[in-house]
Amino acid sequence: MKKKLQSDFSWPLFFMSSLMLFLILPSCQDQVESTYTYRTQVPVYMQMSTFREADIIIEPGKALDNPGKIYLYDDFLFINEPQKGIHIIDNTNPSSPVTINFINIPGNVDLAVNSNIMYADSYVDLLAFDISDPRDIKVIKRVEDVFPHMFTDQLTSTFITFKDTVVTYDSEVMWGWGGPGFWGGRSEAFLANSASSDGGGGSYGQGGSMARFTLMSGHLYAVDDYNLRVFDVNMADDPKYLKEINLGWGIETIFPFKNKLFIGSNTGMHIYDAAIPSDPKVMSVYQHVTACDPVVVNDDYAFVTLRSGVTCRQGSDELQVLDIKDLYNPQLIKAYPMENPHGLGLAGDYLYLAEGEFGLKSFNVSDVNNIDKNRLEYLKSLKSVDLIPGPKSLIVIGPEGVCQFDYSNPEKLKSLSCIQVKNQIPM
Amino acid sequence: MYSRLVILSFFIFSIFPALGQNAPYVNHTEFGPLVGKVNDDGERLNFSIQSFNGVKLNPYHEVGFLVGLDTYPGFKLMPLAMGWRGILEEGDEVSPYASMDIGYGSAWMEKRVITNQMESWYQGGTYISPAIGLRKKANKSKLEYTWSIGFKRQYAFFYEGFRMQGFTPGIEETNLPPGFSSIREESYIFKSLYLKLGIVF
Repeated sequence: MKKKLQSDFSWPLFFMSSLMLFLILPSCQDQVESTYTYRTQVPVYMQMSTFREADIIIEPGKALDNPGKIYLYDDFLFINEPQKGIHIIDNTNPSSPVTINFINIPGNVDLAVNSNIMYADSYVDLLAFDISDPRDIKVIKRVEDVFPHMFTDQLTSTFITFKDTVVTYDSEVMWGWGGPGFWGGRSEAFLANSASSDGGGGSYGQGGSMARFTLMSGHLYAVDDYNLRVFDVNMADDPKYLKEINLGWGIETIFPFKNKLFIGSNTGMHIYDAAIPSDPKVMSVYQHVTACDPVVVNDDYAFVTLRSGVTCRQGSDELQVLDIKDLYNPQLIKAYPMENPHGLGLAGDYLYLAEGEFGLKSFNVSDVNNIDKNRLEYLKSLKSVDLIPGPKSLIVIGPEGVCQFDYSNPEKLKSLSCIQVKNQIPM
Repeated sequence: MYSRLVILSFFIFSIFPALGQNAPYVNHTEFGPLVGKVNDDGERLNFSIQSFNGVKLNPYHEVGFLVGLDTYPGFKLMPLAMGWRGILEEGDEVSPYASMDIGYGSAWMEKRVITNQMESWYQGGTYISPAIGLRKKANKSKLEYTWSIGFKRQYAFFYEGFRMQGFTPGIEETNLPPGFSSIREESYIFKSLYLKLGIVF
């Protein structure tokens, strides 16, 4: 009886499911969709007046988000948050740094401090702050329109800046299963796309003003991609814009040493004599392959790191040692292969080198011909971008935060503290 | 990779007979071609094998877990699914039956390809596969043979991305995985006609 009921009930069900099945079957064509998502920078047009009218706001200390430049002045550590502002950290005790406050400066990329006055850029302007009491910071001066390369229209003071964004669009390129051409796709188009977006992605985080600052002999020197700008800051609270000197292209870093300016660019190292601080004169330009290159210098030698990378064009990864006894004729002594060197710092005979995601290396460089044989430490887990050998500690900045080390024994770094970044980026 | 497969099959082939202490254990192993159309002029012929392990709830219903292997052009998926078998005329020599499998096709057998900054990988997706067919009892044994025709709708994905060099901050709330400057996603829906031959024991 049960079986009879079951079959009476099941037959219509069976036919219905069969019918459904055969209704579906004719639409038996595979579907494929392709979307392309990439990082890029979109241009944003802004008017400087918007920022000039708004007050610079001093906020209470907050977590690091995306640290950029670091600067050490007395017992205070300044950490720039690119395009956003500057964190001020009380570093009296490097084992336990204390965040004091955050100066909200739109468009800020770099800073320098001189006699309790901090200079910082804000898009096209240069700002001066009184930081004699870091807990009570005041804006004392705004020098307008001194970084005019950002202007698209100076009359209306409109300038262009770039905002990092992620874009998704439908792609017509398809070649997943079965390899290129399987879906009749156009893989060349994708490769072309990738190449262009890669360029965009690589320049990420560097968009906008690329001013880099240094102070020497009562003058502030700022480099952007093409120019060296000189400010007279003998009256610390009243910086005066003096002149600009064209340097070519791809200017990256500036390092002052004994009245000389060593400027690293994508193509080489420029040496300027700043004996007359208001009027630096070119002494020599050392050319090398196209790569990124910070510079540090002692009396006899310059240490230059060259780094390959998207923004750095096709370069090599090495540490070059130049003989600069004759500043008019720097000579390459030796090049040492490295992993992916970024910033570097020199403390006496000891060189500390940030190897990007490969870690941090330290060397004894008293024998410049055998630096590779005198490697002291290689901290592979410490991802690092730049460092400052400070009077109390070695300060290392990386994507994970700002870490400090006791380097009184240069052979063996001793970790003191780390300020972690809020949003860490897995590498 | 193969050790995982061994462990998985051990698990499947040991757990279901154990369940079968109370309800009769059923294995239904099927294989056959998956036929599809890539686009207007391209045909796709792939192969599929699957093993359903379950229990006979009553003479008309069997439920269980299904594991198998499907080939698609250039890659393989492992279906892991819940399955149902409904038998219309239990006891007859030939009886119609229907089946429904719903699960996930896993792409774990496909390796992630990393060349310089570029990475590509596959990701599986859900699938649904209804079918109807006939079951025929073999002479003088508990075996049954099955012939069925069905449909299989399988989702899958292919990703191709460029890793960023150096240090770059993340952009919050985006659909780009960390560390990548660009990603291309291909999403697929494979719609296949499924012809299967099988045995039940």
